[in-house]
Amino acid sequence: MYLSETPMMTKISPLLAALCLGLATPALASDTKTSAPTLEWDSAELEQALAHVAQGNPEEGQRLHHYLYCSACHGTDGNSPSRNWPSLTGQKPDYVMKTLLDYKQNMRRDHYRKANLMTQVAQLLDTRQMADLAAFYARQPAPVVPPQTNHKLAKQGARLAQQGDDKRGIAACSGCHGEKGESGITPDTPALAGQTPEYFIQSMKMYKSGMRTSDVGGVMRMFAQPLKDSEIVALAHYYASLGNAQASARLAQTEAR
Amino acid sequence: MTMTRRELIKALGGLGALALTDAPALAKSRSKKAHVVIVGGGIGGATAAKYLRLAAPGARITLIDPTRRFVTCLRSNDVAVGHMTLDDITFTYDALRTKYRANIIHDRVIGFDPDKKTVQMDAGGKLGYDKLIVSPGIDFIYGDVEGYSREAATTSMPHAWKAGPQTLLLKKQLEAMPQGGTFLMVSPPNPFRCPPGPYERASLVAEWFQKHNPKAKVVILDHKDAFTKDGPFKKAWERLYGYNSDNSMIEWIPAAQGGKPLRVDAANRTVIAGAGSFQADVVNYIAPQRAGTIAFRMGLTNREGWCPVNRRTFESEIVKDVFVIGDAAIADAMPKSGYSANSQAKVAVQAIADQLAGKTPGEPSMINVCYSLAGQDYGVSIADIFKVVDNRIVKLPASGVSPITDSPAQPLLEAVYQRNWHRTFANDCFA
Repeated sequence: MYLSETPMMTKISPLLAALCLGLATPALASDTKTSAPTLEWDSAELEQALAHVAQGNPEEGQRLHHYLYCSACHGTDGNSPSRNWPSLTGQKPDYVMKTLLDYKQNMRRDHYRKANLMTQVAQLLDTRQMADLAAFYARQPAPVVPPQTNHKLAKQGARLAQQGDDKRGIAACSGCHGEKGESGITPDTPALAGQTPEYFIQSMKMYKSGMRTSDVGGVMRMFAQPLKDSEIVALAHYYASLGNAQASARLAQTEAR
Repeated sequence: MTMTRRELIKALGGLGALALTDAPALAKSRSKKAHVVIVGGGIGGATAAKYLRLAAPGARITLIDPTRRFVTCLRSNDVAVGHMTLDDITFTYDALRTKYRANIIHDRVIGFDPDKKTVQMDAGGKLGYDKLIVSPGIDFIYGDVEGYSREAATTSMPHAWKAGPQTLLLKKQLEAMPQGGTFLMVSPPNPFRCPPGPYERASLVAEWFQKHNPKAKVVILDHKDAFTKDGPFKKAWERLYGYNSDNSMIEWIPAAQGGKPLRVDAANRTVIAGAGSFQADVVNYIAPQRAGTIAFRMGLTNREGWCPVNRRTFESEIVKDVFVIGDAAIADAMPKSGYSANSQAKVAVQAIADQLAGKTPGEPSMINVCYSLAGQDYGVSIADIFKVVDNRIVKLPASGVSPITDSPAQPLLEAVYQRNWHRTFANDCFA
């Protein structure tokens, strides 16, 4: 068989493996039926799965990034060239690993639909390869400031991100995601600095509507609930503006030449 | 047949008055809203109705098609092997009517007067036009091989090359095959609708056999010695169906090895070719093709049975103010595909909008992308960009076919892209 060239899937845990097998086929059968995933993480199980992160080999991750065509959507170095998909450079390895596991278990939706593409590609990966990819992205510097970043909107988002809103029970985003969007409170809290605004907006709206359920304990769904759409947009541009300014300047210089 | 166009038109509609005047009766309507009539509501016609509204917001648009719902040939191979249903590939004209304010008439065009610029409908009377778009699709040539007939095509040897009842007939025959039986396909001569289609179908049937009829075989008798994307297709067959091995599930017999059919015994489901006599349990005879019959009746075809057009505008070279798009049009390097029809529709409506505004149409650029499945998780694609050079449509060097790599993600991603593409493409035409 052609696909047997790929290493066999490593078992994450008996429960997870069962979930993978049970869900992969029916989940892929339909293109357009959209409903929230029914699975959610149990924190002990997640911790066990993420134990593999430490073994990640960034060189092997870099090879896989090209070999498996990740670079086609996420950029040659992990800086997304598209508005649809996230930048991965500088992302926390635990978060990347968890996200790949989410996809493999059909726990993710993208663009308010079944995430056909990533769900299928993730089936090709064993946990070791996920850890390798995670190590590669983590080694890269934070993403550049996306070109579509609106700095006026970014200013509007800053206050909410740093202080939250007591009256509406909205916690400051920076409490978990870091003062500069560099991640913080737990290893699987994603870095947000330099993220593609469109991807950020889509993620938040999907948390808000309950379509995205990959947040352990429903924390992000809770925080997204009281946010207005305009606030989500402002937050998106705020975090985009925190991208790697030095790298952006270098990029602009190269392009000008 | 040596009838002239005018004789044909007379025979067709009995519109005897057409010689009386040269002045287009509707020319004076220019100051009013221009009326564009579209005959045929397939991919080309539907795209034209939608994009004409965008290119000429003030125009009156009428689309005429006898059927209320359109079944796309795109992904109909998936229906034949049960991965999708006919409903999944059936589309309505609702959005064209409500969102793009096209008047949709479910009727048959039975007559045409190019001088008075009118079309005659079966039930609905006569309709005047300023510009007419004809998107007739294809029909089949039955008489070229002894023993093959229209009757055979609807019973023992379905073509299933227009999606609908034929697709379901083929599916039924496939399911009724005895274990270890043979599925015989005759792949048509160029040019024909959907050049990769026969090979995608052969692939999906082989994949279906792996699950339901593991000893069964697919044999392709081909009028040709090469086909589109044959490199990645054959690689996929090797990887998935043992092609080129003793246990290959697919056997492809090109013309050079006697693949061309010479005679057909429909009652015994037998095709006689240079390579021998092939008796099979299912015969999928994809007949040679020509422009849709309506194009002949309207006098838009040449001796070869296709419609010559100005390559920059898709205006007929035979009848002024009539535009022919899609499979029926002669478009040189552009394949006869839904994507091509969509791309040509956009060029034609822009040319019409320009002409109506008194402008000279610009230089068009056209695209074709064909995604095919060699298996449910294995896609192959071709993407082409076209320009008009010396009055012929030529492919630009930027065009390309799926590379053959050892990455398992590459064909898998193409299969995902194929599904996503079908969804967005159908929306581009019908929503």
